[in-house]
Amino acid sequence: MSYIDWTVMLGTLLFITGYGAWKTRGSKNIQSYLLGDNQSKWWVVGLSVMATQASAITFLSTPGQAYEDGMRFIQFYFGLPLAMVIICVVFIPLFYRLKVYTAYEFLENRFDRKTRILTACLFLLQRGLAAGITIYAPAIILSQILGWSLNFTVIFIGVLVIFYTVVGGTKAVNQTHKQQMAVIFAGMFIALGILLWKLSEFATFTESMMVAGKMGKMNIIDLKFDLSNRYNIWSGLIGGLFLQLAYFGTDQSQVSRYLSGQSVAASRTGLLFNGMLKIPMQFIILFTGVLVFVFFQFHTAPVYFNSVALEKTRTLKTEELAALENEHLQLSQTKKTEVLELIDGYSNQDAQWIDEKRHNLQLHLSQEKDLRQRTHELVSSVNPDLEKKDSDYIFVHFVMNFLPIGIVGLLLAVIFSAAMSSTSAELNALASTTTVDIYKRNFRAEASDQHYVRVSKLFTALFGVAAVVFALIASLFENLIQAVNILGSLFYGTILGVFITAFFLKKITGTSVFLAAVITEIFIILIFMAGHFEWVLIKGEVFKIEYLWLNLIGCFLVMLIALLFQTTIGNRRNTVTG
Amino acid sequence: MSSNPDNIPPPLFRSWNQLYIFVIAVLLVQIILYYFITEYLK
Repeated sequence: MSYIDWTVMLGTLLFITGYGAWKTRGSKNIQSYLLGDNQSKWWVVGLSVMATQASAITFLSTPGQAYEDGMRFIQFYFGLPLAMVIICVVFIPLFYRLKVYTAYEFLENRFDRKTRILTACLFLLQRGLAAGITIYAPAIILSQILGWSLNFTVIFIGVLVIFYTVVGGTKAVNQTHKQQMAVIFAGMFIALGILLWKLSEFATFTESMMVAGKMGKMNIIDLKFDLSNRYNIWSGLIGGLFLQLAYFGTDQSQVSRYLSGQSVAASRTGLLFNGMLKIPMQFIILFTGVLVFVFFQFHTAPVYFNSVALEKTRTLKTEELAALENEHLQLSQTKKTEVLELIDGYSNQDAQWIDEKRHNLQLHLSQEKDLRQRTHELVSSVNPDLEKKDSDYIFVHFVMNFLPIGIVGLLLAVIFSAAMSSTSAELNALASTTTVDIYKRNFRAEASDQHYVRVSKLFTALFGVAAVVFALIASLFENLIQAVNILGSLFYGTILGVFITAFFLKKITGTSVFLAAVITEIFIILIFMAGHFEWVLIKGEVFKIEYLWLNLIGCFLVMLIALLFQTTIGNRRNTVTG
Repeated sequence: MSSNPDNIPPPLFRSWNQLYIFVIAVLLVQIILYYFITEYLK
């Protein structure tokens, strides 16, 4: 990497961090530190909500996912605009009316203390683990790219985030989010523009789209209903709605973003702004991945994208790797010829020719998949701690090898900024929940504002250190973005069920909903483990429910079990008193 | 809540409901567009 790239990357990161901390230093009261004095305008709320959700994983993993699996992941976000509308109608007016600091405070008001503490603890558990992943996931990739040690990269991200989040609290998170989103949007559009420009050497925009489509990458919508299919329109609209509803409505890292709005209108408009922009933003990120795929039909891609692991393999298994690379080179050349012929067929409107080429290309793709799998097995034999896939390295490989000097630094700043934006919001939310729902409620109800600000700062720092320690000892599975979403789905359904019960089932009391939440959580974890470890076979097939549906199941189970308990407890009480 | 000065919907929209419908309409238009792109490029 050139000096210019280092300057752009470090300059951007240090400016955002330093300016954010300086501008927001010196909060004297808890209202200011945890809610940012309710000064945020609607567009700050909107950008902050988007920055919190967009982690570094979004920029590392998503283009790689599109490269391998096509555009279908976008369906995951279809429930989001609907969730935004529901939160604006139901959640926001209540949170504002009760003047809460955290979402869980509302539950004590509606049910009882134990329900508030249970949901706060479920949140702390899942978000505390996720904070570790949001640091670890980009660090493992960035460390290899930059030639830093993994531990140093984790500590570098951790120290920067902890510094400004502790100093400025919610105000610092919102302030830095504005600049981080500006960097993210700029980097994203510049990368897309350069990619299109580089592709124009071989194919027009329409031809590139056609190549992607014929090679199965423009599979944006799948209408078939299938519980075991991870991404289709139904899992996105229904399962996604419940996941996004739980995430934005009950996860304090998001709730604190819009509670910092200067009015109900600012919070609502900010959320609806996110509802309209999120899908196009994800479309652009996924489409960038698809264009990288088309780009590598004209340029030879490496047989394995994790270059550090590949080079290590080259020194230890030289001949085996050379044979695989040779096979891959030949296949790439055949594919390139077929793609160019496909474009010719498209120009001549020869449907039969296009069909034949499409068939051949699909065949070559499956051969390539098999070849990459064999390479992965070889690379794994030399690198035992390797992730299951190399897809998280695809986009960053393109950035490092094909983008001009200066832009590489900007794109790396995008990835670091995204890592810091989501982590800072998480630390801020973990600290506010621990301070307000656990510490203030159970241990020290009456103390000065300065005391609570000091305690909040301490908890922010402690959660930051815990996330860094978790990141230092964590190990990965399958795909980074899915790891975070799966972890969320194990808890979100239950938490959302408690909130929906609070809003809509007026007769349910605290004990019923508390017991229902505990039983549901155990059940959801069992369902997930049954699928993951293949415990149950039904007619010879493994019983498995994809994770997006767990949000829906969890939510309804809490409501159903709470109703059953309420009927039983209610009847017994009536019998005793009668 | 629209009468509350803290809760006035953005200009261009007479009520919050109108804005909610607009957001859902934007979603539907995107889904339809993506469906046709998927089918056309298959």
